[in-house]
Amino acid sequence: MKIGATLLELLDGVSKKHYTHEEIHDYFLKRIKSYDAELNTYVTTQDVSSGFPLAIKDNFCTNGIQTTASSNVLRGFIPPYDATVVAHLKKAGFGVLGKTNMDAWAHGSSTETSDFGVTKNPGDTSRVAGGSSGGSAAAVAAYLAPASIGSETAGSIRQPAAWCGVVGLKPTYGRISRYGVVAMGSSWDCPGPITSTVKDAAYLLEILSGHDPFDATSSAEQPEQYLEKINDGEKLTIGVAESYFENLDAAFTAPILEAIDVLKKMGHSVKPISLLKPQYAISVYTILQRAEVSSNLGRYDGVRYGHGRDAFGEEAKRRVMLGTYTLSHGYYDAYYKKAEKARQLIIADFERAFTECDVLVGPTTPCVATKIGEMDAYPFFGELMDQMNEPAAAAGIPAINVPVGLCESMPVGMQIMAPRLRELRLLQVAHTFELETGFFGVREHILNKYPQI
Amino acid sequence: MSSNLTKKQIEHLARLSNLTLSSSEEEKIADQFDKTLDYVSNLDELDTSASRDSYHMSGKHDIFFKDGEPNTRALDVAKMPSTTVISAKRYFVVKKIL
Repeated sequence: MKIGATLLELLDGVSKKHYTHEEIHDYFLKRIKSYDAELNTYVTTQDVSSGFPLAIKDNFCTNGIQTTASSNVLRGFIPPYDATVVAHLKKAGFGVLGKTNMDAWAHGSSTETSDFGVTKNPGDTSRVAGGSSGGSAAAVAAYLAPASIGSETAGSIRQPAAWCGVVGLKPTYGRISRYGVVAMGSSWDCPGPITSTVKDAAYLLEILSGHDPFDATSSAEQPEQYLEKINDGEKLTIGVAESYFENLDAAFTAPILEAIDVLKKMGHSVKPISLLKPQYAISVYTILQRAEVSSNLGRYDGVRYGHGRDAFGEEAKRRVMLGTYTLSHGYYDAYYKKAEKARQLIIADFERAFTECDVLVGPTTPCVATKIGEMDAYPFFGELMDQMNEPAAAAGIPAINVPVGLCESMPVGMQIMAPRLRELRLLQVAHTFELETGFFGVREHILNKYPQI
Repeated sequence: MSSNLTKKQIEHLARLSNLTLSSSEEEKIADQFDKTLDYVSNLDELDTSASRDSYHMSGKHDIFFKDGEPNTRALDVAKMPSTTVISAKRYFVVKKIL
């Protein structure tokens, strides 16, 4: 089996009977056994193949397989049902290779809040993989999975994808069902694929999307044929989110600006677009997400599942407390209601921007992956590292991270954002960009560190 | 927007949150509260007077199951997780609160 073969190439190999899904499962298990002791991308692995292997973030309920959300509260919890995402994947012939590490309850941007240890960055193991879907992104980058499923509240797919040098797609809020996902911020949470190519992401999005009667917020709008139409892209007007570049290091933004030049040379029209500063989205996210967390984590009392509330880590306690405060009598108007209203301004800001351009581009993160332990130096680590992701998350619009090069030998990511439910447009731009640049060899740079066994 | 919460208020919030905090956790959280609330006060710079009080991302409203629809989400009690305690009458067992 060729190292680095994409999901679609492997599926093609199975359909042509070059190998079986059991052989692919064993191939990845061997790589996990060799490399994961150091990287720590998985919480649980499955010894026996039950379909074409995929890595699933450990906050998706998997029938009969431990689901912890990387928290001691849920250590040992074995769900009696599948999340809709998992059910869709099984119906399409996929099985669970393993459950990937994450920040506990998805609270964080580095996996350092995981009760199962930090996931290290495959590009440099002294650095974090990002988060909260750090295990999912690192597993794809080091080829410990052909592809993975992550989830994003505000950056948890795009940010680790950027730091690990892979593709991460956050779809429109409601495009993919949240049923069976350990809830964090219910008005924000979006499952999505993390892959090595844009076509793999398009393929998985098609399987995962669609209305779910078990999730009242899932979209009734029919998904498109993302893979079949991926080559039908047109020349677009691409807006550059100027405010996202403020105060960033020039060496870090250089590959992103170069990528924008490539888009221009490909025939797209590029223009600067003024957007609200991401700092407002940080505040909206901080208030609303904590409020929703305090409500969602209320169910973990050790009665119906999991262990008692004493098992919560520091970060979860901090978030629950702040959420309880902002929702409490006397403070609700000043915080929760104010943030709800400000969120509408962010939505309106994007709607205005999309009258001037077809998609928006900007950096996915403010810097490359941070060193392990650096989180402690920032009181707002997660919010700062996700600051470019929070506006699109607040507005519920789709966005994708694509690798655009290296800085300090670490991957740099650019995000492309589109109007609600316009995932196809995102995928088309990202795919042609990949064909044009090969993502500047970022993937090979990482994969060389994890050779064939 | 600013907090400067007293120890008593932190304890009250912890009780509302059903959390038991150590003294050091209380101190740390109080400090972080102030920093967080200072930061989010930047929302005061925005004019939100034209925004609605309530909003949902999906734009949907009034979603109900129809009467008589089978509840296919219901789980089998026999398959409940091993960490749960269920009585002989198939109720979850909880601690006495009175």
